[in-house]
Amino acid sequence: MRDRSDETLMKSYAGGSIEAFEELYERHRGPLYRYIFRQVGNATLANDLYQGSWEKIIKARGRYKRSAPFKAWMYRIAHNHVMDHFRRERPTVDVQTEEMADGQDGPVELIVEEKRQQHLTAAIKSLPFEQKDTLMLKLETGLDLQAIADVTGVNRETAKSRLRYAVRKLRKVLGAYDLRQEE
Amino acid sequence: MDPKDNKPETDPGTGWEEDLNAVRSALSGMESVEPPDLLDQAVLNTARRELTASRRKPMRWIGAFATATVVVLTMTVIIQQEQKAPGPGRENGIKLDADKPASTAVETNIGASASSKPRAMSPQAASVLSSEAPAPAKQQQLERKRQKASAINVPAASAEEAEYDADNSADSTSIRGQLSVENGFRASNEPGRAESRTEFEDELSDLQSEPARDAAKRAITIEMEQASDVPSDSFRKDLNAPEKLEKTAKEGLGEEVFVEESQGKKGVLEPQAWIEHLLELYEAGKTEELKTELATFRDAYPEYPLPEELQD
Repeated sequence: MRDRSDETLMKSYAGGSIEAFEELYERHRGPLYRYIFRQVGNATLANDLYQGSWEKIIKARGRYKRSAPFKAWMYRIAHNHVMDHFRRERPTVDVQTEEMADGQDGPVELIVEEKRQQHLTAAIKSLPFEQKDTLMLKLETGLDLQAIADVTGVNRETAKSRLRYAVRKLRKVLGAYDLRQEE
Repeated sequence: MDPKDNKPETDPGTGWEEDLNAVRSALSGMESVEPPDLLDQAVLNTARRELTASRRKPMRWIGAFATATVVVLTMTVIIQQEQKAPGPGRENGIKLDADKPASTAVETNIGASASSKPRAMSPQAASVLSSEAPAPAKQQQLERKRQKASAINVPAASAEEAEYDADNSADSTSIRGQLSVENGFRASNEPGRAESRTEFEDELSDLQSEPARDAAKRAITIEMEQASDVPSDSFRKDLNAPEKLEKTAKEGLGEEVFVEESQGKKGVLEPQAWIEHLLELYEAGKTEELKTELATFRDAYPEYPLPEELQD
C-alpha cells in the first residue's frame, strides 16, 4: 500500500474508498498538525484549525486533480484556512515569558536545553506570520521553495527571502545559547 | 531557461541553509507534537460521513426520478387505453356515474362542460373528458330521457346507457325511437306495466318514416307477445338508425310471417309475393278476404302499383 502515491490515494478516496483516506491521513497527520501548531502556539486553536483544514480537504476531494501534487494542494488549503483565521482575529504577538520556566531543579544541561527550546518556541511565535508560515512549510512539510511559493501565493524569491529572514532571527536565539555553552 | 532555476536554494554567501539545519535540529529535539486521538477520530468520522452522504445523494435522485417516471408512464398508459378503446372506457365512466345519484352525474357533466379553467391534469386527459362531456344544450333532453326511463321502471344503468347513446348520435329522433323500443322490450318483461307500452308507442310516433314506424310497431308487437328473454343486446345492435330499424323490422317480420301464416295469422310479405297472394284470393273468388287483405297491403305499400285485376 505504501507504493501508492498521495495523488492515487486521494483519487481513490474521491471515488469512495475510505481506506485510501485513512492511509493518506496517517501519512500527513503529524506534519500538518505541527505546521499549524507551530504557527498558533496554542493546542486548542491548533486542534480547531487542524480539524477545519481536514474538513475542507475532504469537501474539496471532488475538485482535486491527479496532475496536481497532493502535498502542495493539501498545504495550500491548510495555509488558507489558517490565514483566514488570522485575518478574522489579528494575533497579538507577545512572548510569553512566563512559559520560560525558571528555577526548575535538575541537571544544568537539561535546564539549559529546556530553556533553549522555550526561547526557540518564543522566537518562532514572535516571527511575522508570513515568515513563520514559510519556515514551518519548509521545516515540517519538506516542500521545496517553488512549492512553498505556490502554497503561499508568492513567487519563489519572495518565499526564499521570507525563509532567510526567519532563519536569521532564530539563529540569533540559538547562537546565544551556543555562545553560553562555549563559555 | 530561467537562470534562477539552476541556482541552488542555498546561498553560499550567507550560509543561511546551515542556520536552517540548526533550527531544524533544534526543533526536532523538542517534544513531538501530534494531534490527539480524539481529533484523529473526528477527522476520520467526517471523512466517512461525507463519503456516505455523497453515496446517498444519487440514490435520492434516482428514487425521485423513478417515482416520477412511474407516475408519468401510468398516466400515459391510462390515457392511451382510453383513447384507443373509447367504448369500454366510456362504459366504465357511465358505470361510475351510475353509482352516483343521477343528479350528481348530471352536475358532474355540466361542471365539466361549463368549466373554462384547465384542471390539474394532462392535456390528453382533459381532451378525453371534454369530448365525453355533453353539450349544455342537451342537458334538458337528457334529463327528460332520464325521467322517462325511471317512469317505466328501467334500471338506472340502462337510463345511463340511453343517455350515452343519445349523447353520441347526431339523429336524436332515431335515438328516441331506439330508446323507446329498448325500454318497451324491457318493460314488457315486467308484469303490470301496461303504461309502458303506451309510453314507447308515443315515442314511436317520432319516427319520421311511416313504413318504418309501422314495421317497427309490428315488430315490437310480435316481440312483446313473445314476451320472454328478449335478446335486447342483439336487437339494440341492429337499431342504430331508422333505416336499419326499418330493414330489420322487414327482415325480421318476413321470417315471422312464415311462422305466423302457419298459425293462420296475417303478416307482412314482400310486395310482389303479397300481390301474388292477392291474385290467388281473386282467382279463388274470396272477395271479402281479398278486400281486407288489399286494404292491409295498401296500408303497408301505398305507392306500390297494383295489377289491373286488383285495381277495382
